[in-house]
Amino acid sequence: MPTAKGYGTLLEAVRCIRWPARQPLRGGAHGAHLSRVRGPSVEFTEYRAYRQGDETRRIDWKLFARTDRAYIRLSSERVTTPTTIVVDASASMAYPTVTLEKWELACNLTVGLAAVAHAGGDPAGLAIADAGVLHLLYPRTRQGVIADIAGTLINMTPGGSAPLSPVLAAAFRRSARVVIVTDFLGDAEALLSTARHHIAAGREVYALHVVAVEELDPPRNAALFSDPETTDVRRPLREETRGAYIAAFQQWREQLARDWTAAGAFYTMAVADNGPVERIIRRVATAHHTAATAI
Amino acid sequence: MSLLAPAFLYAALGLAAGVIALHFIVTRRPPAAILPTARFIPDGSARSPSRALRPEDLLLLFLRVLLVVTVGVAFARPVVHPVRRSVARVVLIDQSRAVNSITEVRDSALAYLQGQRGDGAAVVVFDSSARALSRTAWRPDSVKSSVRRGNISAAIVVALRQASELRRAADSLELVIISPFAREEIDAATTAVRALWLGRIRLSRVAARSEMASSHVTVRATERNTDPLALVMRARQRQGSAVDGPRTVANESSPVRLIRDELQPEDLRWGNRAANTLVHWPAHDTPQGWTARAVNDTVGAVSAGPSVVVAPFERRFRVAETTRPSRVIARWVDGEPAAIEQRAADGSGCVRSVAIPVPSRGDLILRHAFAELLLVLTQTCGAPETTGVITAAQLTAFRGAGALAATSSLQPSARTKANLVPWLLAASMLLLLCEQKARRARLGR
Repeated sequence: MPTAKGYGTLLEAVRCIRWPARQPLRGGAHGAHLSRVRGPSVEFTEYRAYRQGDETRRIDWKLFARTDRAYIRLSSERVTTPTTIVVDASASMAYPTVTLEKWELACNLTVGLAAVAHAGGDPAGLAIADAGVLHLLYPRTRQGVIADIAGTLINMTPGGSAPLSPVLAAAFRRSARVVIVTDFLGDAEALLSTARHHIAAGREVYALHVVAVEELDPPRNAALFSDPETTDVRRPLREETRGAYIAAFQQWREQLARDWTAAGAFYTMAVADNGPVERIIRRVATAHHTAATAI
Repeated sequence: MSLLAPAFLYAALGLAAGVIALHFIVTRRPPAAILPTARFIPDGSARSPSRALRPEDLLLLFLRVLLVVTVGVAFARPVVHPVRRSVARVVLIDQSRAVNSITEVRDSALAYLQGQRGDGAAVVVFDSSARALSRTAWRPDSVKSSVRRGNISAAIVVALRQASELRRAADSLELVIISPFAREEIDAATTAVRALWLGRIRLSRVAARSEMASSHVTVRATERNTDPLALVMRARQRQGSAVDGPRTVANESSPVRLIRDELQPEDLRWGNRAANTLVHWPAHDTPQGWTARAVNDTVGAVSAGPSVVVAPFERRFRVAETTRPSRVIARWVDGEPAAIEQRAADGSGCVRSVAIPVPSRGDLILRHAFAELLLVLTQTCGAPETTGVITAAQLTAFRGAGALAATSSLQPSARTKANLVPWLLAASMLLLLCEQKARRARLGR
């Protein structure tokens, strides 16, 4: 697991990545993202005929002089997108048990995405449950927030089987954008339900499905496998059942992708294969987003 | 090599076959590992029968089979037999008081045992009792001079026991006895015990201790030049032989004094002193403590200890009624005392009075039997009655003739030691530790 200084390479790699909002947001602090609200900003978008009740100072007088008609000048507003990254710290993330590659990938994704959001002027925060205790770093724009996030992750060891949906619900309280970094082997249904509810409320949700290479192709030197979070699950894996396992796992992942996409979230799978993490971060940051429209 | 209890080995071999069979049919739980997505694996039995042997299993199987067989062999008590040779030797070494020079005995023993390997010879030292020594640990200084009387019968019994343990090592057995063969070492059972050894015996005779023969005797006789007894003893002095009889010495410090004439008061005082022996054997007078018989008679023989002299003796004296002898040294053939001994009040010295007439004619005093009688009558106070060594004829009879004793004629020893058992049990413990370690290593995998 990298130390705080070990994230230096990653932070350098994601320095130029920008993470615009996928859709215009409601009002908020002035920032870089389009807002649904039109207001007296410097970025001109269109004229609208004056209606009774509009502020007279917003009347374009030059146009009035030319046309003898009163029009209101409209501009686009820019707001910030408070971003919280929800990280799954259950026992299933501590795999493989020797290298902890899933957990390492989750930490790298968290720090990288938080740095991208922070670099774009957006507040970044962290939500994680350690042995049932919720650690919540509210989104901040101050200078040391990335170091705080990295420090929190470094001091944490994945374990237990605490549900993630309460953590997600807590993260949505102060965030317009939530990234869920998990392997979805816990309370996946509750997670989806919570996310769907907040997506409908206008929030952005990104689901990063962390998978280990050994989960895609289990090792052959062992024949009996057990679930670290459910100790009574012990299944033998033989050559004749390996194909069935791979197919079942793939089918489940595909269903997961469909469900989350249908709910309005951005779903992507991140394989802990020691590949460049910034590629996944770029994929998240450049996810398809709708253009801002005036209300 | 042979097994004292082979049934245990057969049982161990059967058990080993069972262990081999179990290794082929035992079902094993496959090694387990963590997999978070284990729920997607189709459900099935966690145990599967395995018939394919992996190399690690072969090592464990080998260790288990070896362990079982080693324990079985240990309980079967194997005995390793030495290389069989033609002749093994049992050497009896006399260290009793009859031996004159213990160095001579050691040298003789060394000569017989040199070159013999540990499994080709047995060593027995004896005095009043006999004990076997370890052949490998035997040293000449293991033989130490003893003040006890020798017992050849006991020595031969121990030799027979040692021979039983040597019977697997050779075809024939030779018994060697290194001893002066003093008369006191032979008892009534010796002949019967000797008959148990079914073969000839090699006798190595060493010098007997001369004090037993009480060779230093001072003779006082008025008729020194005509007294037959004085003449005989003087002649023996010139011959220098202490075996056949006592010798006279001019040294008045001799502990034994033979008086042939009238006893003087100072003689009695001398005799009652510590370690002095006064023998009053008057030529003509009445011996001390005796009275003249009313009627003289003739007897045909007199005996003293093992010596017997057959000759017509004129019996002229009898023990006085007031005399209370400490013991009777010699008796006439009809049982009457012929010589008595009276100890001093403190028991240190003694006065011996002899009423046996010494004939002045004939060759009686020249016979060997009379010389032995002289030995008994002139020995020091408290000395055993039997003195001297056995005769050459007795030695020849003791030696026997014919071949050496065959080992097949001996009973096998009931105390066969299985010296390999502790080593086999130690090897079993080591194999058990290795098997446990191999089993844990396999489970850890």
